[in-house]
Amino acid sequence: MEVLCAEDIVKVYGENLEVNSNNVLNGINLSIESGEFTAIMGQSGSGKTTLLNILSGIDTPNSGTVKIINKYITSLSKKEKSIFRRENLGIIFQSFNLLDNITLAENAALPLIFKGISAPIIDEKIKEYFMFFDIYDIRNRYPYNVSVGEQQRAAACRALINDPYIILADEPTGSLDPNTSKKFMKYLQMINDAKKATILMVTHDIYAASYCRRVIFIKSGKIFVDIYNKGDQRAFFNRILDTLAVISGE
Amino acid sequence: MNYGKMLKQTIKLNLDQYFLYIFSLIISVIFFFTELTLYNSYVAVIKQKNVFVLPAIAVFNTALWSILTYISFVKHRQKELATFLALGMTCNELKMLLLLENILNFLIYVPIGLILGIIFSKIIVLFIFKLAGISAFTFEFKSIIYIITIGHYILLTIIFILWTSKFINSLSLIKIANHKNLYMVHSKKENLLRIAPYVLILCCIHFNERIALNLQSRYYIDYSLICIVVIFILFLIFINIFIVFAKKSKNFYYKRIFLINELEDSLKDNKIIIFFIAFLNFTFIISERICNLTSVKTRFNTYNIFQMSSFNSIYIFIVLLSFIASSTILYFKIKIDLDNWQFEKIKLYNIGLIDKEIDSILLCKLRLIFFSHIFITTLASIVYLYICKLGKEFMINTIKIFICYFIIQLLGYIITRIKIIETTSVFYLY
Repeated sequence: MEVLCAEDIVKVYGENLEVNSNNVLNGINLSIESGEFTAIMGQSGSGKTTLLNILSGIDTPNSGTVKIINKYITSLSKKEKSIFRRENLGIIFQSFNLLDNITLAENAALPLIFKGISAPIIDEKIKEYFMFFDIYDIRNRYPYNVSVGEQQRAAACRALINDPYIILADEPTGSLDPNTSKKFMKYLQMINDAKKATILMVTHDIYAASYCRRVIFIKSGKIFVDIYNKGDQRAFFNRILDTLAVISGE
Repeated sequence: MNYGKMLKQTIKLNLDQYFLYIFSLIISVIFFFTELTLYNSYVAVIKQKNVFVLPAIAVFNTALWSILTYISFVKHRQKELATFLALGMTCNELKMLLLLENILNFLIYVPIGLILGIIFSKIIVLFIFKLAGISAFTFEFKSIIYIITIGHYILLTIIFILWTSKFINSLSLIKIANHKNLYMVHSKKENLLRIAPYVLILCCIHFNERIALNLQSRYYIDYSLICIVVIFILFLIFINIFIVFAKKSKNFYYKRIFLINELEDSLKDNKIIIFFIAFLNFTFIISERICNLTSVKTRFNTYNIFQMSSFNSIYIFIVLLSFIASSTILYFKIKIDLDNWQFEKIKLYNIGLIDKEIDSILLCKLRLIFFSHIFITTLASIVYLYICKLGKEFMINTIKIFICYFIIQLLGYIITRIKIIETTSVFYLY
C-alpha cells in the first residue's frame, strides 16, 4: 500500500518559478510504500531537508502535490496541516525539538495528549516505548538534564508513540557519536521490523543509510537514482559510497 | 582589539532590542525627572520636607525598571557574548566592550531623557494643572534635580557594569555549546543576596512613610506592609498547591499541560517583578492617608474640577504616572524576552500545535504578568481596608485610584497583546 506520494514538487526561494537548476527542488516525484525504511541522501544544499519539510507539511511547495494516506496535504490550510501532522505523522527533528519545561515522558506523550487519550493508556505507552529505547529510568528528567543520545531517543519515542502512518526523520544521527548513532539506527531498524513502521529519513551519514532498505539520491533538486538493499549491509554500504562518488563527480 | 568597530558591530547585531532598551531608559529618565520636579514644587508648597514617599518611589520604580530591562537585554545576548568568548576574546576584553557600551548608552539616554523630561514637566505644570484648576504649583528648575537625576543614572550604570562583570564570569561555554538550559541555578544564599537590595529599598520607603506620620497613625503603615507581604505569600502558596494537585490529577494535567507549565515557569521567572509592582501600586492605592496630615488638610481646602483637593489631584497624577511606568516596565520586559519565545513558538508549531493553541500559551503568560499583581493588590487593599476600618472618604478615594490602576494595566495588557501577537505571527519554519 502506498503511504506517501509526492508529484512534481517544485520549490523556489525567490520569484522565478521556471524549472531550472537554481530551484531548490526541480519537480520531484516520490512514492513510499507501507513498511519501507528509506533514506534520502545528497550533497549539502541538494534540497533534502526542504523536501522533508514539504512532505511533513511544515513547508509549502511552489507547485506539485503531496498525498499521505489518500489526503492531499498540500491543499490543507496551515491549521489543518498542524492537526494532520500531529495525528498522522511522527517527526524526528535534527535538533530534537523537545520542550525544556516538561519531562522526557511528557514530551513523548504529547501526540497522545493531543488526541485526548486517557492518562492510564498514555502511561502504558510511555512505559512500552521508553523500555524499548532503554530510557525508562530517566523518564521524569528534563531534556537539559540528559545526554544528547537520550534526548534523541526520547524524540524518537515521541515520533513513534502515536503509531503514525509514516515516520519522518531529519538527520536523526546528526548530533550523535558513532556508537550512539549505531545504537539509534538499530532501534529504528527494530521498530521497522517489529511494528512494520514506515520510515523516511534524510541523512548525510553513509553508515546510517546502510541500515535502510532503500536509498534515494537527490542532485540539483531532482532524484538522481534510488538503490535497494538486497540483504548484505556491507555491500549496500559500498554501493552508497560509490553512488555518492558518482554524484560528486569523483 | 578595535573596541569602536566591535561596539558598532554588536549594536548592529541587536539593533531592534537595542532600540527598545534605549527607548525604555529614556522613558525612565523622563519619569524620574518629572516626578522629582513635581515633588520639589510640592515640598515648596506644603513646606514639609519629611514626606519622602514620592521621591523614594521614583528612585525605586526607575531603578527596578532599568535594572530589569538591562538584565533582560544582556541575558538575551548571552549566546552572542559566549560566542565572543569561544572565539578567543578574554573576559576582561568582553567586560571592557560592555563597559564602553554602557557609557555610550548613558551618553545617549540621559541627555535625551532630560530634555524630554523638561518639556514633559513644563507641559504638566503649565497646561494640564492649570486646566485642572490647580494653581498652587509653580514650575521651578533647580540644579539639584539635574544633579540627582544624573547621579541616579550614574549609580545605575555602575550597577549595570558590576552585574555584567559577574554575569560574564558566570557564562558557561560548555552549556551553551551543548545547547543546554542556559538558566543559571542559584543557591538559596545567592537568591537571598539577589533580593536583599530590593528588600532594603522597600524598608527605606516604609521607614520614610512612617516618619511622615504621627505616632497614632504609624500602625497603618505596618498593617499595609503586613497585608501585601502576607497576601503575596498566600498567592504563591495557592498557585504552587494548585500546580502540585494539577500534576497529580493526570487527566486534568494532560489536558492543560502547556498552560500549567507556562504558569509555573512564568511565575518562577517573574515573581520578583510581580511582587515589587504589586507592592508599589498597593502603596500608592492606600497612600491617600498622607492627605490626612494636618498641614496638608489646612493648606489644600480649595476644590477643583475633579472635586478633589489640589493635593489629591497632584498626588493622583503622580500615582497615574507610576501606574503607567509599571505597565511600561512589563511591556519592555516582555518585548525583550520575546526573542526566546520565537524559538519556543517554532518548536511548538513543528510538533503540531495550531496558532490558536500557541497563542493561548502566550496569553497565559501575559495575563499572569499583567493581572497577578492587580489580583494581589486588590486582595491586599480589601484586607487593609477591613482591618483598619477607615472612613468612607478614604474608601471612595481608594476605589477611584484603584479604577485608574485597573484601566491602565488593562490598556497595557491590550497594547502588549496586540503588539506581541502581531510580531509573533510573522514567523515560519526553522
